[in-house]
Amino acid sequence: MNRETLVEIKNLSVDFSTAKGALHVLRDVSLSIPRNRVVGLVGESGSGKSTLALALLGLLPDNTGEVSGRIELDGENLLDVPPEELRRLRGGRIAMIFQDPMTSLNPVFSIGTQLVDAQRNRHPQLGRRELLKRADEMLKRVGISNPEARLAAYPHQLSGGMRQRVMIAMALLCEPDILIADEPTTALDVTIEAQIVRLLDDLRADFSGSIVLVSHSLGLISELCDEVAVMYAGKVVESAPTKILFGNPRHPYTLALLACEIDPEDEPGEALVTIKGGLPDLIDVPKGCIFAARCPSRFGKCVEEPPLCEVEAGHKSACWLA
Amino acid sequence: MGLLRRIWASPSGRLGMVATLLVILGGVAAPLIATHMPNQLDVAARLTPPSGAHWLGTDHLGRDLFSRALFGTRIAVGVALAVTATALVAGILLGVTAATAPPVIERTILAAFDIVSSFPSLILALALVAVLGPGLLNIIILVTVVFVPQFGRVARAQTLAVKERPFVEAERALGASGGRILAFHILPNIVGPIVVLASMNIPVVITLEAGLSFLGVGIRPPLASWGTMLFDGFTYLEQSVWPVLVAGGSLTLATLGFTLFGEALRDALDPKLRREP
Repeated sequence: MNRETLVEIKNLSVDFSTAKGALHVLRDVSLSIPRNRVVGLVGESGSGKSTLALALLGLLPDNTGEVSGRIELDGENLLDVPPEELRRLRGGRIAMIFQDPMTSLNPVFSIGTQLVDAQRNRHPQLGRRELLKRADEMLKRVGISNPEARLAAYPHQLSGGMRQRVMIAMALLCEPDILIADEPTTALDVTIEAQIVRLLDDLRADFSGSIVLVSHSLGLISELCDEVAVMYAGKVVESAPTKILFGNPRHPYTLALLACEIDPEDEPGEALVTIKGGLPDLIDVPKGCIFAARCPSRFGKCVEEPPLCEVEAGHKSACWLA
Repeated sequence: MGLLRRIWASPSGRLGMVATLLVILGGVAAPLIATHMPNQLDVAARLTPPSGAHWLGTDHLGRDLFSRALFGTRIAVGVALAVTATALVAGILLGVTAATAPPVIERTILAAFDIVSSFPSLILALALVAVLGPGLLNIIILVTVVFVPQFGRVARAQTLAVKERPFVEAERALGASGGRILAFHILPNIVGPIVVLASMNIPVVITLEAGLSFLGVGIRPPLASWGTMLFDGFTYLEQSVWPVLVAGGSLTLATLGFTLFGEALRDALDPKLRREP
């Protein structure tokens, strides 16, 4: 298996400054994103997966405090790149699909104008007519019928599913090396979700870049991803190729997440499985294993922090038991 | 065109539109319609009631009231448009700057807005006249100063709301620069409410200018202004009621027209009030 690395995240830590002190949103995250692969980031709300996606784009919020570590795109550390150059990378080498298609398009411009706009970083030499033609073809590719009419339409005239297709078309038109999809189906109903998943799956075949799929849905991740990283409280606790991770999970948190999936075989009225407790305080981070407080199989050694170690080829887990 | 049709659809909007059009047309075509020169004296016919020679009568110097009212429209509407346009542009500039600049600049701009709007507008205008002196250009400048804060505040509030909307971040993720986001994504999304505010502002400026001219610190005679006409008429009220009626009537027609038009415009632009055809 050819595992040429496109993005290498090394020991990335990100703090947000808050009134109560520094919030350690990402702590010592290391992750590699291979070329032409789909990597899933999964975890509960607040685990830092969206922050990791924003860090890749260089769009961390204004209240970001200290950032350390490296994000290497083809060996170049994105954290050192000057803002103006980083801006050119966005919409060129890196693009993003946002969560809510209902609000991610500018209401005052037509779809065509926005699709043309999206390509200007990638193809500054092309004129409006050529860019419109490319937009037209891309709309066809993402499964929008009658593209000429849609190009003239305004966002409010399209349905949610169609808008998400437009967002996907917009990101693909940038021909990015790396496409970040932040919960791309969360705001859609299930039938549309299935369509979008199928679309992403189809596009994967002829899309030349890597995709980072951020989601809390294990089903979506298992469907689309080659590799998965499970995040908890700002750390990657387990990472592996999808089949291995779902077949042989080695971290108690991954096991707990899998157990939380709703099983249709359950009797009605049966209590849903949850993980007891809540996320730890990320301002005053507890010592030792970050998951210990909620872990059913903790033991004496958990007062020390377990490193993320390879437990088998390509499979890493941060647990003393793994 | 859909917008004008929606304004036309409401009775008060129709009234406002007709009155506004009458006033604007009267001002634009004043030299063509006017039967006399606005400052032409006819001492033999002072303070006459309407007649064939003077359709709306004459004032205390025998000047034709109809013609003076028409030329007064130019002053009133001209000042109102100039003030509103300048205040709108300055307000947007300051408001958007306040919303996007570092806190020190934001606080300075907001403090300036607070100072200006803490005075009643007529009092502030009078104080500024005392500094700048009367005259057409000075009136435009000082009335603009009075009206900048309301545009600035709305522009700032709108910008703050729009810049947090997801499409702005989506745009940033596609590599748009800060200036581009301001010009292409924030501005078009904030102008709607500001334009409505501007249309409602026009009648307020018209009355303020007339008020200043009435008090003798605005437009200087012999320039025909409704405010000065009103004052002259007021002085000779016991001899003829016509000068006051003509000046007051013009003022009423213009302010009522612009107000109704502005309200209809606001309703027409509000999608929640829009009736589906």
